[in-house]
Amino acid sequence: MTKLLLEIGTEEIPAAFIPPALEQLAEYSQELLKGARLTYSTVSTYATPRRLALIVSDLSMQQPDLAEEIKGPPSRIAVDQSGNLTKAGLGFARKLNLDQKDLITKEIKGQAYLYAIKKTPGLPAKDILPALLTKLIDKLSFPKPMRWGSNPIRFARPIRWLVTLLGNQLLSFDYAGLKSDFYSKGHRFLGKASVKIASASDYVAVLKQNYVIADMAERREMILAQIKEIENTHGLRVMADEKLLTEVTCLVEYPTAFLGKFQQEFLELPEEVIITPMREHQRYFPVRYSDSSLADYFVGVRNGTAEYIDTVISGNEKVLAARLADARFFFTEDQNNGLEFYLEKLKSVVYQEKLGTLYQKTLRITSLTDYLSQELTINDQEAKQAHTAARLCKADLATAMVYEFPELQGIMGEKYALNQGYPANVAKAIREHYLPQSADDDLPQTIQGIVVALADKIDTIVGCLAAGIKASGSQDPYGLRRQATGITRILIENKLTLSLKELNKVALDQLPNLGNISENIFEELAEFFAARLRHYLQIIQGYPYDIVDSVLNCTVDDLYAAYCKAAALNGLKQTAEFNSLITAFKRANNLAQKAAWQVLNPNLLQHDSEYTLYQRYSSVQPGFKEAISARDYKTAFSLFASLEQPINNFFENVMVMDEDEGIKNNRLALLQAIVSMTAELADLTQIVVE
Amino acid sequence: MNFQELVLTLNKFWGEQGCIIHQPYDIEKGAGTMSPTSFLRALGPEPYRAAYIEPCRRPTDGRYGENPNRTQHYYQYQVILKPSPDNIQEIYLDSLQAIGINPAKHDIRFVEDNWEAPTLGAWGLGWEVWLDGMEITQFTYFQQCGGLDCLPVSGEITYGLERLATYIQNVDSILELEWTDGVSYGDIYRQNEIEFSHYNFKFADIKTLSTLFDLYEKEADSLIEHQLVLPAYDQALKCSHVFNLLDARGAISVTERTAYIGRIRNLARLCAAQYLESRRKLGFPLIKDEAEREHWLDVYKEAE
Repeated sequence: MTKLLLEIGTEEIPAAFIPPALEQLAEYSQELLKGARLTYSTVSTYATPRRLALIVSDLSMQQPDLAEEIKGPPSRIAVDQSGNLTKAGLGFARKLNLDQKDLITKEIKGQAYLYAIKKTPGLPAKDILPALLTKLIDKLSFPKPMRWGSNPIRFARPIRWLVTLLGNQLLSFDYAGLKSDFYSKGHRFLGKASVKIASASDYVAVLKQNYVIADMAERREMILAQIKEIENTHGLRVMADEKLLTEVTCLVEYPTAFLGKFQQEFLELPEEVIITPMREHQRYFPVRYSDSSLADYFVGVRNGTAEYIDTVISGNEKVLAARLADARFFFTEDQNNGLEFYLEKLKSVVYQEKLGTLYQKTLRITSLTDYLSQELTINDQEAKQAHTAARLCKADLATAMVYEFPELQGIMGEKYALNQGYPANVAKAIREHYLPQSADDDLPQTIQGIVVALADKIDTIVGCLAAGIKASGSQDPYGLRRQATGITRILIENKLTLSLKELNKVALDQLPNLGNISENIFEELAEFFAARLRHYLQIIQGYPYDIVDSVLNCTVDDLYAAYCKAAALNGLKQTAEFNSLITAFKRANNLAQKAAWQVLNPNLLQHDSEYTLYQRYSSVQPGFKEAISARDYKTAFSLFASLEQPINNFFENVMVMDEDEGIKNNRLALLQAIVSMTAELADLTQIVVE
Repeated sequence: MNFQELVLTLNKFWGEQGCIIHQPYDIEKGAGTMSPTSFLRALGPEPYRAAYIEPCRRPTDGRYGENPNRTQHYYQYQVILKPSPDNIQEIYLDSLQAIGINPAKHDIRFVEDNWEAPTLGAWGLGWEVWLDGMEITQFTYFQQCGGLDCLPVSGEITYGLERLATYIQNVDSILELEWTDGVSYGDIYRQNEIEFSHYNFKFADIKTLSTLFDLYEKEADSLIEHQLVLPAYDQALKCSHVFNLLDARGAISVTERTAYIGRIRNLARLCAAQYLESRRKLGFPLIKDEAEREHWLDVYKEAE
């Protein structure tokens, strides 16, 4: 039992590549070790910008022998009467490079077969590992791999050294023009340029002496502790969000957090305008005072110790000051003109080649907004404000600030609209129309924001699908899936009823001439939304797949209604008589399908249970129809479920396929009437009865 | 260290690294990469090491000499090393030492930044180099030029000279930089910035420029037909600059923009392909080792 170390020394790997690379390293190494029949206790991974490393503990030194049974031809053709191998038998043995003595006979289902026992002696781990590690490095994949020098290999960034040790033994192999060795590198400026790792178990400690903290978790803890100390010393609160903390951890080998300051006058700018350049461009953590107002400080993390930290701080302060001065310049410049001015400028910004400029898109969003305001019957004043918000919702894309900081889209629109004196809900709707930006993001709060958000998204989805741009696999450059999920969530969570088909039609009608649009565009759109609805119901709401299937198997035009049906059906599923109801329904449905549509004649009802079922059916009809039109699917389902007992009694006491054609058809007609109640609810044949 | 000492120091440093110290190329260009010394030399297998200061023009960046950090004419110091040597980062860090920046006393970082030039059909992967949070250098491994794979890969180092100098001299504005004793950058370039800003934004004649674009493009096409790739590439550079001027004049609508970029990229692609072919026909003469030459002739023959 010993330790295995692999260190891939590189030039600085992009921060975002590191966490997924470590996951791959752990997963693939275990896969390969298991495949090679080598046992181990744990696999740990390490990384800094300049290295990816793997340590496998308690690795077995020797692969166990392997004995495999290989099935050959049937004995009757492989062995002759005197027990010698026939031509076929010899061929089998030769193929495996075995003698007759290595072959046995085994019986399978009464038939004798020739079997070979193939023994592969286990090899020492040190002989297997070089090829295994080569395979492991080959398997690592990155979003944008590159070539360097004259090398054919692709990797995240150039590989510059390799350390591969089994205990204190070198596992020598070649990769990317390098020979693996004992020698690693310390921190670029603080550690030794060449650091000998004498044994795999020394790895972390030796690097630490050379100012490299190889363990990501440890570096992260160091940063957090340093931040805590800054907070305590200065009475400040550092906004160390998870995403930036991980990125910063991946940007340094030896972290030292420091507190920098900027001129107080910049605090007059909107918070987002200060925070965005700090966070996105400089990777600084914003800082707040204890009363949670933004402070004129920032926290940066340097790659090194506290030595010369004053030079580092003043350099960073200078850079941030220049960035904030730029931001202030843009903020002032932008407000020399109103949003209507920037709206004009959108005439020369292409949204998408076939779909025209952002100005044209704005016009489409505006008319869709008007349509939606009417459909959703929002009041005149709100509709007017939604209209204004729609006109202005993309205007900030032409401002200098958003050009410089694209992530401020919507946010600047809101600020500028407020400063220009637009009503608060118009301003808010401009920001909100981008929501939700992810699966768990907030939804728009104002009705104006809701309407514009729906209009923008439906225009994008219908426009892209009509222009032949589709989301497939990991490719979804226009975020179509995200936007369709956004529409689904907005409609359902706000209980909004809308005909999707009508909406798609309105959106499609106002697109520029795209030439030949797919004939099946409405089916494609319906399918696309059905897939997002399925995702919402199954993944976000957690409804069982058969419930979702049965709802989606009916025509879905109103997403909120479909959700209500799924919710009601899922509720019904929790009741005691559900299974019996479904079984009865399926039986009724099977019979109902057997005949052409029959007309029910109450006078032909013969049996008591037949009559009871009919009565029950008739008595629930008014309530049922009312519930359906009120979209009260819970009531509708429970009225339908109240037929469970009468149906079962019916089946128990009545023979549907009566000899008398008239009676038979009348009974089928009764079943058809009952079954057709569910047509507008769900396809209950999809339900799985446990 | 004044501005001219900075350039002289870099020349000396990279000269000692075996670089040919080129002189600037005499046609307007938006970036040092566009010089034939980078763009064309990066193609094919012949080794090349060059360093040079390159004047760059970005008409839309004109600020009438009033913005401390932005000018429409500025300098890049460009280094191209093909194939990229194994210790390219270490050499680069030594060059910082040479100009008086001791990495141990600062926070030097290589932060992911990828480079793409749509008009050249070129892209590469690398970093921007941060000095205490400030970007001072663009560091790129060329992956493609003119739509062709770079094989072997060139390492490109581009120093933003003005940015670096304002840091070294600790001044707040480019125009305040000391060029040489008693002469400031502004003494030399302020009038230039003012006049060219007027020209770029107001006086460049749109009709003349559009005509020029067509003429240069036509000339380039005809030169490519005659297999005169170097003069053809000059015309492509001229098209690119005329396009930038038209852009500064706000004379390019959206659809036109895509079309213009496509036309320049097309020229760049044709030049790249023809340049590579012309070097192949010459037998890649800069490869001295006979066996290696044969090897690469073979590689590029197959790739054809």
